[in-house]
Amino acid sequence: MHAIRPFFHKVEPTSPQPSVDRLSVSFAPEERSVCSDSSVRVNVMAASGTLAANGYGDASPDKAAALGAEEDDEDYSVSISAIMQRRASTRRSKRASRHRRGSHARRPSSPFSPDADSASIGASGHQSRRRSSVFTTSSADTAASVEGSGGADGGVLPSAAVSQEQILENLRVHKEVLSGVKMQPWGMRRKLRLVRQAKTYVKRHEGQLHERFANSHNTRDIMARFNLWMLKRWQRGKREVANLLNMLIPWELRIKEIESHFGSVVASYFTFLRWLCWVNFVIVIVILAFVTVPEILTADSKSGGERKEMLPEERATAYNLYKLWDFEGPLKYSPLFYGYYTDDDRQKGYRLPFAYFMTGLAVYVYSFVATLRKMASNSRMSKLSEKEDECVFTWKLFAGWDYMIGNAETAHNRVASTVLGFKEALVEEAEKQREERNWRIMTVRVAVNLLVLGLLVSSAYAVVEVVARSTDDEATRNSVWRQNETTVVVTVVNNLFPLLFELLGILERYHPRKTLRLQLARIMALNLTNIYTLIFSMFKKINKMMCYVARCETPGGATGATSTATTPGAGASGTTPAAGGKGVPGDGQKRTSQFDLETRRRLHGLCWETMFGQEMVKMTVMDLVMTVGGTLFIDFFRAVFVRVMNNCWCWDLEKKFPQYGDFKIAENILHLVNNQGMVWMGMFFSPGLPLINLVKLAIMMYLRSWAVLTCNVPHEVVFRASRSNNFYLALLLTMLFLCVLPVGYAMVRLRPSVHCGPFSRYLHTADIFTNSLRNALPAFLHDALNYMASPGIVIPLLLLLFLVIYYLLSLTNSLREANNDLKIQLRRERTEERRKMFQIVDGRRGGGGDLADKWRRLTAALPSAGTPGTPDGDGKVPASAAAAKPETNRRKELLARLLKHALRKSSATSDEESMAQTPTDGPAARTQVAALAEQPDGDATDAEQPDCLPEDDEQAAKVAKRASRAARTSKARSNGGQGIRDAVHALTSSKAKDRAQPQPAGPPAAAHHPHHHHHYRRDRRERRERDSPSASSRREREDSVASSWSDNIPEIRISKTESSECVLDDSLLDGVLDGGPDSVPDDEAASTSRTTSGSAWSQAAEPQRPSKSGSSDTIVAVEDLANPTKDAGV
Amino acid sequence: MGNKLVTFTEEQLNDYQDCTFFTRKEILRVHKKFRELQPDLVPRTMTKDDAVHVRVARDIMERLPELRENPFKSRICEVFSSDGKGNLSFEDFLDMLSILNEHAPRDIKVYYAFKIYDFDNDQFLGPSDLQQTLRLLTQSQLLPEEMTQVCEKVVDECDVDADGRLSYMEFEHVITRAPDFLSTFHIRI
Repeated sequence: MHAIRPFFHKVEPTSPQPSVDRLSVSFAPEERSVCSDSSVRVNVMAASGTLAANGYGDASPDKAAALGAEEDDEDYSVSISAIMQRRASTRRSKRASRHRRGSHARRPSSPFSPDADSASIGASGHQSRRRSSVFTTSSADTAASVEGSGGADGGVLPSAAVSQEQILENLRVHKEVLSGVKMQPWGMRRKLRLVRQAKTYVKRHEGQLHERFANSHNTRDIMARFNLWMLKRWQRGKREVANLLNMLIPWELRIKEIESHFGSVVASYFTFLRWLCWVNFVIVIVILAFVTVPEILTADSKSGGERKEMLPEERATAYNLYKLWDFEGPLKYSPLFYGYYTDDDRQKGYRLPFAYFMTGLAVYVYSFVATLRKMASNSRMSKLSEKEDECVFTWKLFAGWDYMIGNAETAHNRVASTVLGFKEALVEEAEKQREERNWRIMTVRVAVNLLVLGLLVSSAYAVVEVVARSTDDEATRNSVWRQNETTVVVTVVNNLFPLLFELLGILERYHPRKTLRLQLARIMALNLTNIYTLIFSMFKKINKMMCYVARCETPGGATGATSTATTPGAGASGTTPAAGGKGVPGDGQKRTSQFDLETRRRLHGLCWETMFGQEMVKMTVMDLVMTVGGTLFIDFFRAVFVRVMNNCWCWDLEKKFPQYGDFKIAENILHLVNNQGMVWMGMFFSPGLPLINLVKLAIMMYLRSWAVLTCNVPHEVVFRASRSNNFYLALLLTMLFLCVLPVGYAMVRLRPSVHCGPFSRYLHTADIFTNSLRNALPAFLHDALNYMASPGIVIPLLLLLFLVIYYLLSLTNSLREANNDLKIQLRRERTEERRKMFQIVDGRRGGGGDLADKWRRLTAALPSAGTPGTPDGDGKVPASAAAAKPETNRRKELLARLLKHALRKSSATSDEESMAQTPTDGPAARTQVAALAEQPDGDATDAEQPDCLPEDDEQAAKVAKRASRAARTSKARSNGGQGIRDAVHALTSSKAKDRAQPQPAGPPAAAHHPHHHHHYRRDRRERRERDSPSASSRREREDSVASSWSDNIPEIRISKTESSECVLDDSLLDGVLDGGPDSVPDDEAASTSRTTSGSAWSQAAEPQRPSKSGSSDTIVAVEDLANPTKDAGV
Repeated sequence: MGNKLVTFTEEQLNDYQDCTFFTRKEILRVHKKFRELQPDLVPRTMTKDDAVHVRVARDIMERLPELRENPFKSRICEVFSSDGKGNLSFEDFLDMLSILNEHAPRDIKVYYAFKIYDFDNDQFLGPSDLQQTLRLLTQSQLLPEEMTQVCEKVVDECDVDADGRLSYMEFEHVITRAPDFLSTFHIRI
């Protein structure tokens, strides 16, 4: 039990439920009260102001000065306190604060509420008068001290009345003001004035501090001075850096311009493009720094031999454009490609092959991390925006306009799409779930899907075929067409098929959003199919090449090896390199690495890594050419044609057939994704590819932005950018993953070429890593490593991973379920409340007179603190009891059963039991039962008349009388009953009573556990309320309004309470006192019935009890439960 | 500052930076934009008084490219103008763009959005406000009954206390969860 309390204490405020609950529930009454009674609102403001002041300001010695301050200063103080309040509230909201649990728990942004605004800005004399009184009494003391100490009258400060700490504190306050002022919804003038005032203060006092520090040579003072100086410097520097960074973002203006013309969706393409540029930029830098530049600097160009020199016969045609285009000739022997790099794996100095491998690895890891981080930040941004269908109309209405649109056409489209959206939503609303099975459309859809499948297969087939043809003999490959076959076919397929898909998609007649999704998915599938078929056929080709190399080396190599002693690998095993004699890197023998010309000729073009890289580079470049061409022809020339010829054409070109091109955002982004995938795939075999890609991206940025601005019109169907952002990134991630797979396969499985590249001495590329690891680690770890790499570890590890994944999946599912439950609960609650509101409205209409009137009448009826209510109630109850007989009986039964059940249990082990026990424990039980049995009568009356507060009062009073404490109780009651404005007063008086009471009223010891509980609770509550003096008034206010909600319908309570004891508690309350229109008396009576033995001192404090069985109530109950042992000890 | 012509004093710039979500360069750009609206009226150098007293009339203000197409443009001007008539001084203008800047936090944006949509300034979005918003947003392309229907739906969705109008809290509650609000309620300059 002891353990529970701190636990709850700690956990409760952080759990989101209460706050959400509050958010949806509590502001309504608050708003109502706000508009009904401004004085209450001012109280709220004062309270929070005080909090802020407590937290930050120092107690001012001269409040009088503040009272006399003129309007301007006061305004200033108000502003400061508002800022501080905001700060404090945001800060407090992070901590577990119990103030928030009160009725004030709106949101940290409370200063933004319009009433606060109207109070602070509005010129209504009445309000400002009120405000001034409030702020000068409570919250203005911060400001007052600030003003007084620092302001116009310099007399206060130099007299050293204000200590140095105080000045520092004030400085800090002012700096907070400076940083917080921009968050305030005020006019610029006011903000500026505030800023200037704060700045002058800061300047002056920093100057003074400086002086003071300058006079003393204390180490601490010098340090402080230094700190001040540093702080100033630091802040200036920070601002400068921010300015600079902002300036350095490339293409910012361009993107902004596009955004202003085409809205945020099109701009998202460009931001994505820019982000890709950054990623590629980093990759390029890393590769240049660790691979290319060292290679150029350190490698011995002579020993490089066949890696870096062209064959004589190659040299002749090397600079033909056609060769260059093919990335043959000098380009092939440049650092762009894998083949260029030397395999000189020195054991000291820079080990280039190792660096090559590690850089490649690092770059891939970086790509993953960059993508994931971007996704994470994106999803953090859109955390709140997952619920799709909650308030369709409201969102469409208030967030429907994209404020960035600055182009008439876009605006027109936007309007059209908004209208369409509204109509659609209306229709959807009208005939929700009217599922029609249109067989015609179904068949069309099936056919379309089949067609798409066929297209995919045909494209795969084409790619396979083309790659197969490219491995044919040299002779047939001489034509330009044959040389570029692969690239052209792939590019054409990539560009043409999406159009077909689009046409087919139109046939399907899905909702445009679904069409877009399908389209995207299909294009993605197409791209992946293409790339994968390409890869597989390439691997096939590589296998062939390797066979060829092996073949030409074994017979030819034999001759070569005998004739020239320079054939590599003729050392240890005596076989040719193809036989695999060079798995070991440090096999002692220094490789001359020089092939003779003949061998080189034979091996020419058989470096498969370079070939692979070449293909990728060619594809990338070809893609760029196609993009440029496509943009020019499909967008630019078409636009020119349409614009020029429209005057002399027989139909409207702009409206009908060719139209202007629109910017197909989805296809374009997929294009980028696809392109990046190619780069990732080719990167390892062609270190220059990222560089080429960077250039390409830059070109595309300029080209696309130019084309968009000059000749495109916005897409007619406007889609949202915010949510699809992560969708694109997810595509990118998938792409990255799929592209790394073949590279990994090539690293681990394929044998590197023997005559080119940095890994020619290894059997597999990855061996360099394992070997280095092996060399770096001591021998005894080798076994461990071996074991770790064996199935004995890997399989369990995999299993473990699967288990973890499974666990996480199920966790996510359950969380999602819980989330849904909460959502449903929230919604139900909201409808409940709405229903109740309607009921109350009805009740008012029917019963006439409103609640406030009743209160007034009540207070009028109970002028003094005497007992006049009692006979009145007594007279009323029997009259109505007859009417509600059956229900009364039922309730009685229920209660009796409950109590009996509770009595039977002796220990307070389980929560439920102890809760049930609470009311009945002790000798007072019998009295109580009697009291309870009586009470339903009154309740029944209440149920009939929703607004008869007096009855409850009288009921409680009756019970109290039975306990012979009537006088004090009813006094307290009437105090509470006097309404909102007296709440504070009542509180203080009851508090005073409370403090006076405990000793004399100390109940008979052991038998009165409940007593103790309540005593304890009261104390607790008192303490809490002392912390925030206005909390009670706020609560009271909420009660007075909110209570009008919580009647007649018991269900609401169930949904709110989480733990069973509270349910029980509430059901008890409901059972006993259901129907009281105001739950303040409800609670009073409840507590009376619990502590019937007559603890009037506890009743006196009852009015402050929150009426709703919301979270705070729950907590109180739980705390009670946690305590009995402790109390018993006392 | 590297500029030949000093538009603002250093101090002014610092103050503006403290009061807005702009960097110094952006403030200067804002000024340029402001000046472009009415070059003959707005001086190149802004002493303090000019920033407050020189006002650009509303109809000229609405010609700003960023505002031109906005259906709520006149209302926006009204909300941000310090004289309440929609004429903006430079500081008002700066304030407006600062609020609509993408760096401005959500709370303040929501607050001003509420103000903008609250056409009759009664601190509530009543049916007339909703109708007006809808009319502007759709440029009266919806049928009257459709409009009433939509407004009813809106009230239905967000009105918690069932008073037939939206208070600020209700508005905030709903709008903070709108997926598009943050991404659309800003103007880039």
